[in-house]
Amino acid sequence: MDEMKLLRHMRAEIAVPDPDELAASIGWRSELPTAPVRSNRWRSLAFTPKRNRGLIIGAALTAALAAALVVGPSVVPGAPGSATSYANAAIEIEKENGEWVAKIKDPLADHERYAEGFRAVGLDVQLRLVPASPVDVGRVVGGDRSGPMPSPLPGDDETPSGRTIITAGKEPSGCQIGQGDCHLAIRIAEDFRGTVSFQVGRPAQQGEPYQRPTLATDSGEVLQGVGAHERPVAEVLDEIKKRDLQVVYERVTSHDEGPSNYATDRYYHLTFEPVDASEVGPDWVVWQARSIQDGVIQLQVSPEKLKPLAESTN
Amino acid sequence: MSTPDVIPEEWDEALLRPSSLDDPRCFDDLFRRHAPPLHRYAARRLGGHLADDIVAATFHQALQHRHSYDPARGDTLSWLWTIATNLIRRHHRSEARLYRALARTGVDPVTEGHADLVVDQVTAATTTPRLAKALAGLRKADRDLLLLIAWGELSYQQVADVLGIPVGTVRSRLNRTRAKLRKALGEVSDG
Repeated sequence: MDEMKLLRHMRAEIAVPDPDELAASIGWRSELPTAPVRSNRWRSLAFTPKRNRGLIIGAALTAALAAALVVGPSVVPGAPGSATSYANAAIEIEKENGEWVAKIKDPLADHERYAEGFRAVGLDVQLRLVPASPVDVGRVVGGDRSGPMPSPLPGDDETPSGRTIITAGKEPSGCQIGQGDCHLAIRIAEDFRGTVSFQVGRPAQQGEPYQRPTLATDSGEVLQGVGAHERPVAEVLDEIKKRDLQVVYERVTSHDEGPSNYATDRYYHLTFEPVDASEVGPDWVVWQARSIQDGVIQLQVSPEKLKPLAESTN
Repeated sequence: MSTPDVIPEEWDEALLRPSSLDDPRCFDDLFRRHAPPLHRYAARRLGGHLADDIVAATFHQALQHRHSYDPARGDTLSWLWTIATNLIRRHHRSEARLYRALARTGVDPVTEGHADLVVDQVTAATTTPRLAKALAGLRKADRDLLLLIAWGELSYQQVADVLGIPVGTVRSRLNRTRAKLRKALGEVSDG
């Protein structure tokens, strides 16, 4: 008997409502109340709903919202924002099958050149291309927030995360940047109206550290297939030397309490600090091996095996 | 030993800045994405009528206090579900009454009028009243946590963000709560 399964069946006949019907039944209306601060001209531009749904905005908020919309360049016809395609030396943007497709022509260009292109077609998008491990080239590797990522944990059910608004990749799929017509491309939903800032991986230049280190033992990485976790430093070092890679170290400390920031089948609260190679003994324990730039591995190590958080052991 | 989950999962859906919330069209998108699952969750806990109120109040509060949205404490989903969770908690007595009514009569006031569920009706008929009794007896915080996972279908990390607790605590509290449910259900077959 699985109590979670039984619980999931309980009242499962209650369905997820249709958003439009729900909006109608709870009075979430598409019309925005008029406010004296707005002229009809602006309202007709900014407040013509694309679809027949939307919001009730409290009167106190209306002025602020109106101001926010009125000053936005993307809602002014004839001004930047009305173009249906755009190209400069760094980026080329076109509409294709209901989405904006931005082709990166120069991955090393100043990010302002990309923003310029997005602005021209009415998108408030800040894209930065950052040096990344080969496996991360063409992937979204960061955003403008510092909080925890909503990543499902082992054993979790799939969670609905909503509609994908922005995707990034190499086109044609699976190609190598620098060979043939291979380029980075960003695809953005045509009806996206928000503001977004994010980073996509590009090939690193010589000696340039990755913006986001990767696990060196992962598929496609330089130590693919090597077991590094909880092995003695000397053994992992052998594997690294065999591949003619450089190594640097970081010391890991585990704490008895604090928010869990790492997980295996247990939870840990860990902190990291650089440590000189001369201080690291051959019998120290490897927590993980990371690729931090082309040809360089960072071993995260501790004198003894790390201790998980107390509460995750029950 | 498994490989450490050292790097956050790749995320394709780029995240919105708080300032985007000043654009009603952005809020409209939030409503379309999050209101339907939130409504279903609230309806499973409190019935459809109160769920309407909860969803409406959640989005009005979110709109009114949109500048309090802090991406560092979780994504927009967690933000909205935090507001809804606090609103639902105000109705904990009504919620417990509904569970107790189901436990007592075997008829669920929340699903009356809905089409029958396609599951093993015999199992449901014997276990659901016990399950309902156990839910009525849970601490408010434990019930929130359990149902955010079972009915809200949130991940542990999202539940941690919603309840403002470490994800390790989510796991350990869930284990304890599941044990209570198992005990309650075990009492069915033992007589």
